[in-house]
Amino acid sequence: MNLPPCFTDPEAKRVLRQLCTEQQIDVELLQDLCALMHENTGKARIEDDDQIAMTIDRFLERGVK
Amino acid sequence: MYLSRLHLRNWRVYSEATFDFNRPTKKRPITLIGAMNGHGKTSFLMALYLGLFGKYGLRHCEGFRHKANDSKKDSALETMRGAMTQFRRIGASSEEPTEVELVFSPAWQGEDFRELRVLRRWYFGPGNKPKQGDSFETLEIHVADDRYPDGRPLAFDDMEDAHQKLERRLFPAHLTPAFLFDGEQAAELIESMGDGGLRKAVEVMFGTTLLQETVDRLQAFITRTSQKGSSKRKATELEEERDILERENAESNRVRGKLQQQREELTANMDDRVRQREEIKRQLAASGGVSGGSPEALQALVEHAEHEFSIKRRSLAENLSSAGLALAASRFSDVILLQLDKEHLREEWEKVRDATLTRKDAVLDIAMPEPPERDPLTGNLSSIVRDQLKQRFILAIDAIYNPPDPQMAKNYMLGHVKGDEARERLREHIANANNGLAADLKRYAREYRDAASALEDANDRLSLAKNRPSEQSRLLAELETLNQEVQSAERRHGELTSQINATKSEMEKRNKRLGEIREKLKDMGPDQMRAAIADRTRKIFETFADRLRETSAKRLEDVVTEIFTSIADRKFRDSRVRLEPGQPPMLQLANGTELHLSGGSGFERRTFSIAFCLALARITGRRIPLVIDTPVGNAASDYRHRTLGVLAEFDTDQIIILTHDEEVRLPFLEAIEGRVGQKFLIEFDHGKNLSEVQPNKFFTFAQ
Repeated sequence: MNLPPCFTDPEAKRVLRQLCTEQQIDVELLQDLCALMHENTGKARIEDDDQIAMTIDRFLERGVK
Repeated sequence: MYLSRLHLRNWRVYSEATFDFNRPTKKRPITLIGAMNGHGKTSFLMALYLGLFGKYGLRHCEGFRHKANDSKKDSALETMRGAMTQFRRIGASSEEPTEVELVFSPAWQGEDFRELRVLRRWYFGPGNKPKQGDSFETLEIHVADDRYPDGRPLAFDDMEDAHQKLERRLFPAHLTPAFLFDGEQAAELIESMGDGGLRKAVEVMFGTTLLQETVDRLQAFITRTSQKGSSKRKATELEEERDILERENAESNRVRGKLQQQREELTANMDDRVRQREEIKRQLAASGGVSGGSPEALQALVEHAEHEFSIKRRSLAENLSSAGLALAASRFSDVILLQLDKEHLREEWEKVRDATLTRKDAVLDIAMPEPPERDPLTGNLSSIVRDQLKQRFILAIDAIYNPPDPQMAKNYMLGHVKGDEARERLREHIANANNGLAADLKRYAREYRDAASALEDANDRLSLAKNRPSEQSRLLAELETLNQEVQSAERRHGELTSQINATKSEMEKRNKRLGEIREKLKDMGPDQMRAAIADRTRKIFETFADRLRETSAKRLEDVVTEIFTSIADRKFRDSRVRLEPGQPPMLQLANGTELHLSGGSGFERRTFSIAFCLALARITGRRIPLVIDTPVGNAASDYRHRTLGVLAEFDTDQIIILTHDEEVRLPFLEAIEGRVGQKFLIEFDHGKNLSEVQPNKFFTFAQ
């Protein structure tokens, strides 16, 4: 997936970095979740809990607090 | 991506028509499609609108906008049926559907976009009447390489699902007029801006809507995960408490750093003041006044010293008087001590005497019982002899205490001191008096001398002050100021230190609590941990989406302004396009005047619309094909040059320009020729009453 401009616009990136620092979350997790939502667009039912959990687990494995 | 194919069947003036577009190159992204008015340019554009978005695209077609905006589903479908009778080719066989097929392909090898095929058909019955129900319209979306397990190409044929998929991969239906632009309908685009629909669509393109959707999904995830473990709420609460504490600690740390910096600056300043003060003292000492003040203050000092001197002098005199008695007493101390010993002997003797006299009669009664007749020993004695004997006994008894010790006191000179204990106390007093007398006298004498010296010093200083030169007065005034500054700085230093310590103490308490929270979070299960992280992530997305709404609006304004001013008339060069929520676009001139763009000239409206289309493509970073119908119309030649120049230089993968023969005439064509990669000419066959597509052809202009 091409990242939406909110992840690439310089000013937006600065805001995002600041928010991530405050919440101790890395940008990669946000991008992964957005990509997941993007892929599942149009699905009649949400069956993506496992995928969200896996995405979060990858974040935990990265060791970011 | 680029539009690689458009196939039309039974569409307006086209029976069967195919546009196969070459892959555009970086150098030549422009495709020119020429057609005389009424020969199929607008049909081409409408095919894109309706082929992609059906009834959602219809609302942007001239003559159908208001009808299509009807919110009732049945009515919208009926409107679509009615519209399709007009878009269907007259004379088409009722057996054949009307069909639009579009294919979008990657613009370069490695682009993160898979080929997308959109096939929309409309079916008709006898008399070419649109079919009723769901059988009227079908939509298929095919994504390259997506296949069912049996190998058939995977098709998204549920209308709503397919529509969403399409909007996600291309652009929202709201934005159709911005990417597929009809220059003649610039006013409609401007009105759409006022409605806020385009603004919202920009948010979709910028990614804000995706963020909001992610927030909703995460919230659902958190809810479901919390049902698995009841302690999720606790985890979230702990996370929240931890976040608050960490934020507070960060703030405290910042405040503490600031306070420490203030204290350091204050210390340096204070040290500086102290050094200055020492220097002034040195100068004062050199000029004869080590310290001082005003003559009035020194006069008061003298009076105080006089008072002190008077007290000490009186104190010394009184103590000398007391000391005189003590001194006199000390000279007789040996006599007193000897007298005390003698009085002690007398007291002992008196005890013996008193005891003997008390028992004297009883002893005589034992020695000479009465009456004598009963005593066998003395009863026979004559009364004379017995009296003589009795006198002898009396003398013998008196000899017990007589004669007294010659060392014994004759009488009690120290009559108030009786008993061993009292005499011992007196001996101690005499010893202490003898020892302390000299020390006391020395102390009183020293205090007297000090008071005299202080008085002399005060008098000297007063004398100096009365004769002090003006320079010393200045130094003294400066010294006084410095004294006040140093004292004030010391007070502030103390306050700052208290504040720093208080902040440190608060942080230590918070750190202790943070440690407890982290330990508890460690012990929580994976679901709770995931839910807590999802919650933090949700908060980021939520805040980020809010902030982006402002950012994207501002960026859009900036870029629209940049492009608008590069095309528009020179008088607009320093103006700014304003896109306020709920307001139609405004143009703010350099002198502050605001103009409604909807009330501007046709060229200004068209310029704004092109600027908006290009700005949207740029800020959203979506390399979507731009299709522009009659971009310049019959505008003045310099305007045509600037518009085409901007289009030719715009950085995107594909720009399809639909034009009639009067619009892009030879001089303008020559200006953009170097950027054109492909040309088509649509020609109308009056015999067949059909338009046909001629690839690699264009209008020919006389030199």
